[in-house]
Amino acid sequence: MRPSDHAANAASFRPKVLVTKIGFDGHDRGSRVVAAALRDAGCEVIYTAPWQKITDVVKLATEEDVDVIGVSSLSTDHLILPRLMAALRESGLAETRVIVGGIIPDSEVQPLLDAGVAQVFHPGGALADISAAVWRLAEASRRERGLMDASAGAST
Amino acid sequence: MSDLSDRGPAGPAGGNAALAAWRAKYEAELPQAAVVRNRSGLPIEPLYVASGPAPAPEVPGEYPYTRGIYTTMHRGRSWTQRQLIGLGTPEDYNARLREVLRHGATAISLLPCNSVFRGYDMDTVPVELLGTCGTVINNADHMRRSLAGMDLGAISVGLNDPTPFTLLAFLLVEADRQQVPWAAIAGTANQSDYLSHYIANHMFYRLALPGARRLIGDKIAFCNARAPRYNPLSIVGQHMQQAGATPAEAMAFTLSSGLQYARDCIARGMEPDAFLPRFTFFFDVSLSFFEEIAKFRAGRRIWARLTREQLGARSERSWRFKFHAQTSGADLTRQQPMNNIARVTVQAMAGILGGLQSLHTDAFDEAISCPTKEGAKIAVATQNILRGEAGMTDVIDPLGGSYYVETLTDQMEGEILRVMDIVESAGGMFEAARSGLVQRMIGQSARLAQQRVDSGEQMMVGVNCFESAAEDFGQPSLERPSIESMNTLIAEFTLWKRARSAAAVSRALDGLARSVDDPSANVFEQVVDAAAAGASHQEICDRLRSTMGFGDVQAFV
Amino acid sequence: MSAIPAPLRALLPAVVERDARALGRALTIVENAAVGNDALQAALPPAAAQRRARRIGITGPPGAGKSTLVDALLAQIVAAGLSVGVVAVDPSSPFTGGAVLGDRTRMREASLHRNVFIRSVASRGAAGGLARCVQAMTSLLEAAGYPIVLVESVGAGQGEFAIADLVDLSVVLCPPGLGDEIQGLKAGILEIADVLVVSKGDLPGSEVTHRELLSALSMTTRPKRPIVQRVSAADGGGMVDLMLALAIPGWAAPQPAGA
Repeated sequence: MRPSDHAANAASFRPKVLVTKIGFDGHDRGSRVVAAALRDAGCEVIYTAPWQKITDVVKLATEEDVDVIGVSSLSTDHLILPRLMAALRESGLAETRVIVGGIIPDSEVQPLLDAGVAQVFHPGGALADISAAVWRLAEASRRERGLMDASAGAST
Repeated sequence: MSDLSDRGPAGPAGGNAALAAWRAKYEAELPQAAVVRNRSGLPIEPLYVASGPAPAPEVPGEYPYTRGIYTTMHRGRSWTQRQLIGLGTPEDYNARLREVLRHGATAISLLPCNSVFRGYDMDTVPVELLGTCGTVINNADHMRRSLAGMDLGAISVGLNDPTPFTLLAFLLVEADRQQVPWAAIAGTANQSDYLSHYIANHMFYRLALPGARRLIGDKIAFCNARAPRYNPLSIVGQHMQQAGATPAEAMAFTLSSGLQYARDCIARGMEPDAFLPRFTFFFDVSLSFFEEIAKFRAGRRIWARLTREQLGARSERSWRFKFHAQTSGADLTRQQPMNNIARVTVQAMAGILGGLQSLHTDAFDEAISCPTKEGAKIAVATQNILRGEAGMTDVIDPLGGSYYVETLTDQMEGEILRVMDIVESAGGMFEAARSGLVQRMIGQSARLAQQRVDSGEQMMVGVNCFESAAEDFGQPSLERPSIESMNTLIAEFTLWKRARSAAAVSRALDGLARSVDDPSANVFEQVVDAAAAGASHQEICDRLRSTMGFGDVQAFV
Repeated sequence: MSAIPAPLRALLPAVVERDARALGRALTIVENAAVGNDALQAALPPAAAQRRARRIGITGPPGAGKSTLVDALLAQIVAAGLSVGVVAVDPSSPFTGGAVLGDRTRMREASLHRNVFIRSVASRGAAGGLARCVQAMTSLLEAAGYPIVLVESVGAGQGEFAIADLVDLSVVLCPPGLGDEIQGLKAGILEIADVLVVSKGDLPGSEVTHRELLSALSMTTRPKRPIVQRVSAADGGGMVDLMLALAIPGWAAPQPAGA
């Protein structure tokens, strides 16, 4: 992927992704691997320590205007994802895409999708699949936010 | 080409004609055989034979205890079956506890909820996360309800209780209420080793390093004087091995930590023989069967020498390396989870043959979630089968004298000492951890291990070979406490807070904060007083975090 | 000269009301479209166009302790009841084009404060484009009413000089133990500095570095010498002096406790 620099036009972009953990689990080896893989796939990644509060995630997502939030969830932390989705909507960030990776029972996947999570990844999946999903979702999010319209970009 | 050169008193040797002939045939049949190495990187030969004169026979219960710390070992007293349990409300825990005891567990271990590990009370966190992986305990009354029906003076209580050790404080308060003298309380403080948390398990890391260092010292002194049957320190190799340290590294770092804690106690003016008898260890035991046995044998030998010769301990009770082992979850797989029963059995055997004092066997679904009832039962049955049906207690150190195991014990000892020297050169374990040296070494080993799995060099059935997608991804446990029961617990907790004396709590917490600035005060004693005055778990943690510093570990990619 | 994109124009009224979401979106637009600063200024509502922020650049080599220092500065600022915007620049990988934007992560406490707004930016290689982007972002934060804007960047190349032109005052960090390398430090970096901070002031090498810097500077021919300040974010040493050197409007040194 050719690096796009800041002089390029609005149609080129790089996904801005937040990789984070909410809840109590502290095992972050997996999320660090994903963050590195996303960087290597050309994304601009903000990576946090575990145990982020939902309010802090929303503040970060707002200021950084991230396209995608990737939540790493081992243990049972995915159970509070619906709270994150609600908080994002309430803060006007409904277009921000959320994906989650981790150990999630089959029967609890659909409720997450119903709550608005875009995609659920299980351990052992290919990192390339996650990167591809992030690019796709980031582009969709930018379109919805009106940030992908080339004609609205600056002409030089 | 495999290397069959001479090595040490028991090892492959070249002097024997029959051996030379065997070697020639072996190399003819396997001319390009690759070197096999164990997890610690030591090369493993296909055959070991006697070499040199037979060494003087070693016996268990005699310094340096290579063959076992006690004269009778498991014949005299079987290892303790200490299964880790924790779920839901205190009542949920009590029910599961009684069940596990009925099925053969002989000691209690209490695993609190992750919210407790992070230092929170139930009314400050999302209710969905409460009690999913451990029991919610925020005050002494919850401890009472969790252990209802247990004779605190008779049964050994293992508490998963990181600094500032509120669970022990709640236990002592409850013992007071039952008029059980503290001198009768027996048990072990699991997760009391802040160094291992800082290095390899941040979920348990709560207070900044200097504060954590002060608190463990205070607690050891306190228990020494007031609760002498409680082991206040369990030095942990498990987290580091799970994070990727090799077995030799895990033992080396753990023994170095032991040395650090001992030196800190001596610096406070304590005599080695006063505190060393109550130091215990906690290790992972992996699938590398012989390596684990040799690791433990070498560990016993090294610790005995260290305590006697370096620390100057004079009592035998100080030289004995007592340890609890847990079968390694890092070896278990999500794929085809029933295979894990076989894995756990081999791991358990390695620990038993390695001379452990206490054992936790993982449930087959432990890699996926908090274990189900069924998984927990099989785990306990595994131990019963090994003991009762497979005769694992019949002979002490049955692999002693094996050419392989004795050679490997010596080699592991060498490797462990090499790593300990690195830590010593870095200024000891506290400095080595603070500077990140240990973490870097572990990270390096972890990467190498991952490469071996990724390349297929290290087989993992179901993962990189013999895959079977249809059986994959065993479902995590859905045993969750009901949100209703949690809400009820929270409501009770709220009422309890209102009913207690706010003034008493406030005074006690202020006393706790003041003790931090007073070098002659015992901070843990103040923790117990605060618990007795009605302070909650989070209130105690928050006050200490604000005076001693929040335990923060940098995030990095 | 380019006109500003319509979506950006539409966001400006909310930006000047310090609506965080609008500000976040506006920053994205200027990050990805080459928006000229003059065009941006011209598009602002008159009240906002008058706003001025104290712009401070902070740069230094990796490992010098920039983020820790910025975190400490932010703590001082919010303790005085002031608000502040931060633009934190991290380098992009020349191979993959991606980046890990780690500055924010290292400013843990400060990043959570309601009066602190932090935006992370990847350098994306081209220095000129980066400077224009940072300028536009700074203008937006200024228009949103932040009286102070910190621009943090890695002191690695041409970009640093361009950014130095955008700010009112440049702080350059020198980690202790620099020794002879002070002579070899890109002459330019030292020349742009208004304040040279010897970081990690609690560590043994810092005093030596402090002296060596003073010595090296005594030989320059610059009309105005930079201030050299030793600082320890760990124990707070030198922080008040540094804050005074930054001349932040509305910030005053805390008075000693009454007798």
